Amino acid sequence: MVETKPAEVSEKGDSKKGAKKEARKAEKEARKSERKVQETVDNASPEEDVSVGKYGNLGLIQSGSLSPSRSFTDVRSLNRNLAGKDVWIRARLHTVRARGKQCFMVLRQREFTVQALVNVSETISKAMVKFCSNISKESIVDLEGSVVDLGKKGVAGCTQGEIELLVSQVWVVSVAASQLPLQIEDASRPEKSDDAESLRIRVNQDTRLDNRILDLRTPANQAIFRLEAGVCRLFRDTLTVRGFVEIHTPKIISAASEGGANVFEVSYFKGSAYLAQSPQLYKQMAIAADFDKVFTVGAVFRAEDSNTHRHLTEFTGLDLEMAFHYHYHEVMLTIGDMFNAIFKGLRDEYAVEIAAVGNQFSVEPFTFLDPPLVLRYNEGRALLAEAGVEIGPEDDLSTPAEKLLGRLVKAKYDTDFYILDKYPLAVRPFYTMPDPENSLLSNSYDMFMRGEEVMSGAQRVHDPQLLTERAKHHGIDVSKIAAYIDSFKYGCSPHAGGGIGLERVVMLYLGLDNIRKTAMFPRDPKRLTP
Amino acid sequence: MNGPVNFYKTREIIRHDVEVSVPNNMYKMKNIHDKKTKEGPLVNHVSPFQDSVNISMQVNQFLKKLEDQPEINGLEERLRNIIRELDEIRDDMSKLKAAVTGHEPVVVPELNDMIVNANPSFPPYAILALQKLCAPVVNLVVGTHTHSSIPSLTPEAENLAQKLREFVPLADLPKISLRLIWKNVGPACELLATQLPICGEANVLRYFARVLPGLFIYENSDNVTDLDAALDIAYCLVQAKTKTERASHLQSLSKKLGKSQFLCAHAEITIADIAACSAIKQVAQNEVNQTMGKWLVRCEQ
Repeated sequence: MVETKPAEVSEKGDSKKGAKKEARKAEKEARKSERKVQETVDNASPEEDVSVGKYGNLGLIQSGSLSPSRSFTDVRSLNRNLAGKDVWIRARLHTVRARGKQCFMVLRQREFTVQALVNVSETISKAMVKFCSNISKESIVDLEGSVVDLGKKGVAGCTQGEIELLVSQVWVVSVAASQLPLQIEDASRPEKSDDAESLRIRVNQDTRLDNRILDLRTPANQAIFRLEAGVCRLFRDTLTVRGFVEIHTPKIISAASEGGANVFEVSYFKGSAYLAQSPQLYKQMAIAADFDKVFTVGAVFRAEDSNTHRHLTEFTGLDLEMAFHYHYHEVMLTIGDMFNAIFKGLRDEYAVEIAAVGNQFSVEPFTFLDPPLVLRYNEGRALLAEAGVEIGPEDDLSTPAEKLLGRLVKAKYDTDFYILDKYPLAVRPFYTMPDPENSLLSNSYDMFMRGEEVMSGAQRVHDPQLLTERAKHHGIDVSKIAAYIDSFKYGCSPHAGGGIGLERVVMLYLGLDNIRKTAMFPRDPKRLTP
Repeated sequence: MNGPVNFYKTREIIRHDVEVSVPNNMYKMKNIHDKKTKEGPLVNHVSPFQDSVNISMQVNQFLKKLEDQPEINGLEERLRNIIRELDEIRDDMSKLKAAVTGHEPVVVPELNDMIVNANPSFPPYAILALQKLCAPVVNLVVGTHTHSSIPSLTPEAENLAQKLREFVPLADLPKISLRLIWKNVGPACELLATQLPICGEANVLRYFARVLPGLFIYENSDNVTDLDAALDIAYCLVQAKTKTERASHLQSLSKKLGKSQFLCAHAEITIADIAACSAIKQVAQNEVNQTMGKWLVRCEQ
């Protein structure tokens, strides 16, 4: 009786509230039991999972005899035209987001992304959706799905936004660790300073370089290194067409090729040797050996302890040397044409890559003139003098002066590439041919991209007597370079050439701010790994 | 101690008895201070005053005698005639020179490395005409470049560039260098002589007519305003977007031409002709009437 009292009281005082409470309780109970039933169903009978055999871990692929044969479609080629068709793709899981009975996955293949939807249905079980939502980011998955045309709505943030995949099978090929040292999304976030609303989360350069393999997966990096390969290929192609021969020069040398201060010493059996800092001597020897036109692609080492945005201790050198008939301009214009062929090739064949880099970094399109603009050193000085920077007739251009001149030339001619011809003799190495008509000048040229020097070249002295004279004039011990001088003793065609750094050309073509962005595994005074 | 005291002896420092050998590679002069000889240069070095007076008197007398003779007068006359004839010949020569060039002598200013940016779909034929008209006075050397914003040149642009390259400069004339850059600009070409571009072919022509005064017919003619109007029509013709717009501009040009040889009743080619002709070739080659067709041919020459 006592027990009923409070109930009565409550009924009296607040009967409506009580009723509601009761009802809610009952509802809860009902739901609980319902869930229990469901759970028992799920737990008790896993065989009833309708999707068994449609998802899971694929296990280690060891190229066994029972490997399935499937034809895969590239993510980049997924589009409206494939609507309604079933396709297999192998891609990385970029992001995954589960919502109730649905799971949205964004799959990435290089710089291309597509959205996949796992939806509970007659053939897709809840367990499969759950499995999908738990796959760690950056894992590689095989996925089957049918292409669905999304019409005008589209998926924002995916490159293949006009369609999505309705998933029917998901297999994990390779699992990524769940903790990533950097998020691909952060690493690929646009770095344009003008966007005030965007997230300010960035991955700093060192973190990127320490985890370079993850960093390299960003669309911009994918594009940069494909473009770099393009530069190298175009260099080879254009020169081969022009009758050049590719040669390979030794990288371990006995003596320093230029100067001697900035070479790496390595132990060589009982003695020591040096790492080549330029293939120049060997290119010239190839000319003396009648190869006429040669080029070489290879590593170049510079032991310069300079931590700037444009110096590496190891880089890829693209060097060429060419014999000419009467005037070194034959060579200079060939090199200019080669540059233009590279620029045109990049413009016409790598538009997608350039756009991909442009999505992350603010890049102004590279401009050039065909035939290239050739200015004389003195004309360059005149342009600078007009802008208020006086350079003496026998002085070299300082880096700021070079940049200013680049801007002046860009403003006047609207070209990011130009050639500066006829440098003062005093600022060039001893093997540079002096100008026959003006004793102050030399037959040498520098080529500039966006106001930074990319190639320094010249007609070389091919006469042993003059070469000895010039070396003495520069205070160089002739006995140390005897082998070099001797190579011209048995007759040598007049020749000129030059070399460019691949990384620097790519950096400047794209207008990036650091050469480490265009070196896959950069080496500088502070970095030897990875 | 009463005896004479000997003074101490010193070492001889200077010897005076040495014979001085005088170098014999110089000519010898007489000693002018040596008064013993009467033939010294100071003696009688001024001739007596009377003598010089005598000589001048003699000369005057001689001339007075000659004055009356006719040969001398004739000689003077002849020299004067020769000088006058030379003056006449010089005048004739300068007149002939002016007739050959057809213009007053032109002062060529220092024009360094000018740039013309042009769209290859609208090749600036005026530059070719300028080059031709300048040829007797100044070498207009045109180098062509293609900007990276142009993937490929049109055949018309290629053709014009080829013709400009064919120009053979004369050795002893001053030079103006110009770079023609094919670039993705609007239909109006741009001349960069200073930092600010001069837009439109008509204005480029005006610029050249002003920096090379006397070489073209423009501000030195009586009907400058008429020519300006024609130049403006040429500018509008290139900018016109529809055929009807073009037709109206062509009609006004046709009116300007009338029945005369060149626009605005001129007998010689003016910069208005150059501009209009180029504009028509760019956009309305097939939309002109017969009279204008003939005029175009005349301009070409």
